[in-house]
Amino acid sequence: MPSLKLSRRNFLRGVAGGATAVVALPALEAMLDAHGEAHSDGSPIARRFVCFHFGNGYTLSRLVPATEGPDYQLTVLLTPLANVKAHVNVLTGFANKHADRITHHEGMAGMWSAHPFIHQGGLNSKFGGPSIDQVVAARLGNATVFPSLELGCSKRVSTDEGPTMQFMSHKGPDQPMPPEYNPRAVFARLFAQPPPDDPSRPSRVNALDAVLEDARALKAKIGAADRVRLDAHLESVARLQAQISALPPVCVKPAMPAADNVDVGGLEPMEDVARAMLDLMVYAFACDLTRVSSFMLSGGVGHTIYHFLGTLAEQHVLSHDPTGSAVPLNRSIKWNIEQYAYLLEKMQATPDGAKTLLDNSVVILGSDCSEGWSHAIDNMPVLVGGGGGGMLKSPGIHTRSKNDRNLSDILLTCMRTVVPDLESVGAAEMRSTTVVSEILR
Amino acid sequence: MRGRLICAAVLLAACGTEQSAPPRHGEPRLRRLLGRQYTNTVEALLGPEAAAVAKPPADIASRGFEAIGAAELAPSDMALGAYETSALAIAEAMVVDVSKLPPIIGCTPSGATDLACFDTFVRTFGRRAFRRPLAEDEVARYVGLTVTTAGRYHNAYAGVAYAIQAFLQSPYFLYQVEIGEVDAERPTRKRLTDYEVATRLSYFLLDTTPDDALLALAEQKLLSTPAQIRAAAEELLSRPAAKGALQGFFRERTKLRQVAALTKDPAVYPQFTPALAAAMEKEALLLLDDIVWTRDADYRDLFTADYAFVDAQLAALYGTAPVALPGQFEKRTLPAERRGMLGQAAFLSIEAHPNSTSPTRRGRHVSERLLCTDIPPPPPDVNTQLPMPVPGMPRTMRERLAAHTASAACADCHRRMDGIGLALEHFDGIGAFRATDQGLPIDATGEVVDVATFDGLPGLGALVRDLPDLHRCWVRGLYRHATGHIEADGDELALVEVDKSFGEAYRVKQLLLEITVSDAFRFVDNVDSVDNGEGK
Repeated sequence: MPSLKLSRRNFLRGVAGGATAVVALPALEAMLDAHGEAHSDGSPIARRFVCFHFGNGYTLSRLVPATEGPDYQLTVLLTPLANVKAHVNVLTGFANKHADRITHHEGMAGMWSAHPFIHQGGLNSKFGGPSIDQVVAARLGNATVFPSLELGCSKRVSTDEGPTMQFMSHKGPDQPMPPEYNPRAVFARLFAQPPPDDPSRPSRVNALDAVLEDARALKAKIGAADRVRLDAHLESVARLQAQISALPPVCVKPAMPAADNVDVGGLEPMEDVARAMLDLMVYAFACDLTRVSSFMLSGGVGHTIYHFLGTLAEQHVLSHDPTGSAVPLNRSIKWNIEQYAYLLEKMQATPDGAKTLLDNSVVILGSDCSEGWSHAIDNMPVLVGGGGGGMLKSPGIHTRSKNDRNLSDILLTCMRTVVPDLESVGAAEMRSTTVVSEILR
Repeated sequence: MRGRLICAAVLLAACGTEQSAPPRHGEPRLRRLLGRQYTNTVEALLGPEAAAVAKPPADIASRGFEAIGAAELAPSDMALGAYETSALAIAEAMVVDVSKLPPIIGCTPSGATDLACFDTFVRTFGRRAFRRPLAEDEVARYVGLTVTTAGRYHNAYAGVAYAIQAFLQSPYFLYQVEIGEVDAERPTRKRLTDYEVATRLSYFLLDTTPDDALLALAEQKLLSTPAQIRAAAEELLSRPAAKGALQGFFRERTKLRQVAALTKDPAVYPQFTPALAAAMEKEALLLLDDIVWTRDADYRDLFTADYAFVDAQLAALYGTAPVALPGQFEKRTLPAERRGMLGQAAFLSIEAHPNSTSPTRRGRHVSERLLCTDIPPPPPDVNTQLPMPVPGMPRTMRERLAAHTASAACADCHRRMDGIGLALEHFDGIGAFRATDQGLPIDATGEVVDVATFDGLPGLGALVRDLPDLHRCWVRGLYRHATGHIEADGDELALVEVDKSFGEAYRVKQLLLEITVSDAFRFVDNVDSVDNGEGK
């Protein structure tokens, strides 16, 4: 049969199996200045920005340390941080000031965007402005091939309350950024490009040139709202062209992960998927494919079941019953913090210039409630991991607000580690121009 | 709202010119093909091998409808990456055996520079992909792409493959593009062009692209009048794909797609298996098919049918006469306690917890999805904790949920949900009948707040089937799915007429036709005609 092959690309290249230790090439010595803190041309070493979400909040009595400062004792829910305690600042008692309340939605919007959501009737809403990861990604522009990554783990997120509850990353009200749930698809997107001289590369770019011309012609014929959407479409296509043309990253690539996030017997393989996604995120940073990532481990509300922790109840339901469900609920919260700790440890083990990836990153752990049983968004706890390129305090401290400080102050503080001249974040009652100086060096 | 509608419809002249703006239709919006529509379209254009590797990004619902999400939300970088990857996989599948390509191309290229053949290909394939004839500059663009890439590979078929890859990513392919033509009689609105009507009809009624016959009608301008559209729609509804398209809508609206991914606690529900879940979904679709297509019967039977199509597993679960052949679905009479789609295991399992029922979820589903009544959000900072079970003191679900209605903050809304769901307590978390809850007798009386009280599932079905809100909601649901927007006041005026004709016999096939010929389907707003004092 007369056959033709368009590309030498092979999605399945790499050995299936567990990921190995990160062996990315660190920035070469010769490329660094005498202190290893900047490139020899004076440009700073890249900083990374991570937003890490899990749904339905904490049990504050088991989370909040009794004392403030650097010498606080790890509480039962914070014990997973034992190996990285020096690199984590614990902030508690901050107020998510979102005025409109329909439960959970205000938590997502306040935690990750600081813009009031746009209510769409009943229990439906969409984000009112960009999420903080997308603000940072937009400011970094095209510094990397991928402006940002959106990764997910549990697929059982709320899909019938509008984009606010379904996604944590949004470029704006009408452009949610859905995460990829399949680690193998993430690998294919980041690491399975064909060789540089493969004829498929310029051909795919040519095809997209035609697409761009179609889109520009269409733009002249449509209404204002659609022009905004089509502009976003055009921008994405142009970025896609750059991704197709990009040379393979100069680093050691990971193996194709085994996890594909297909349920087995009605149960989600969350443990394998979380590990694979976090490994891929670290590879992507180490290879400088991106500097911004969000990770939605589980969604607020949602139908996620932590079956591997010995419960078949939905975690959202458990969160409404903190006394009766104490054991499985706290196990699930702790497991989420363990995944966060895993990421921090992995980043700490990854060289980056003369330092570690963790030193040059900020990793925010947040949720849509402080406590699920009351849907509370006051007294919010947030963990801020990483050194922020030297801007964040180490060893980390616990600092407590009496529910009188703006949650958005934390967001602005973290964003400034990557975008130092950022004046404010958010809008309306949640807008912030103030940093949390206690966690700054 | 009602007052405004009457004003617009009846008293237009008397309402004065100051406050009564003329009724408007929905704004035209680029509407991305839903995932299944994308895949069906790839199959129609390129065949099953291509459709097998098509992998569009996931649909996103907005305001409760994926069609509205498709019309309001912009695709993300990753979504466009998914389209690119999918189109490339399709292109690669097309050249595995290039001897199959000439029928799609319309000619057999003599070599990598056969411009005449490429021109034929771009015009014929492009017309099908864009659902309209190509303009000359578009022909030149795609012929140019074909030549360039054919030259790079020294192979005509490579050029064709990349042109296909581009066509499948063009906004003219990915979106239903509706520009319309200004209605001379009412310049505030635009009539969809014949090609646009062909596209809207085909995706609404068949979930796929208009075929050559329908495009030919558009070319001959035979999709301009309601009578012409009715004739075309009747023909489309006679095709097998019409059944699948209605199923697609129904699966989304009733959350049937979730059955396959449900987790149930095997200690509580040992009968629940993936095979049973698959049977539940199929049963639900078979009842829909029977009422709408096989019998063209009164759709209200969905809520009161005393029969079901069950396999051996469901026959055992429901206690009907057995079905002998595994995998076979047969019509069986239901026991007196079980009636219609609200008695189906699919609904009862989806709206339940892994180890128990959930009257609240069941009631919310009926209220929001069947009656289009939004439940107000819960108040902030309310303790959601229900009373803990006390060992040795069993309590029914109704007794446990009494806490919802004991608190004033929760009572009003929870009555609207629990009042309906508690009437279904005879059906456990996978839809099996139970005489008792925790060994205690079940009180299955229920209430649709502000409407009526009733007893048990048969009472609920009998009540719901005659509620005007049910019919209104069903019509609005189909309309929003068909057009990707919430009806504007001008659309609503037209839909009230659709409601009336639907109410004569409650036939869904008839309803689909009435929607397609209504002004709400054929017209869009002429945004440019709005004079808001600021210009356009």
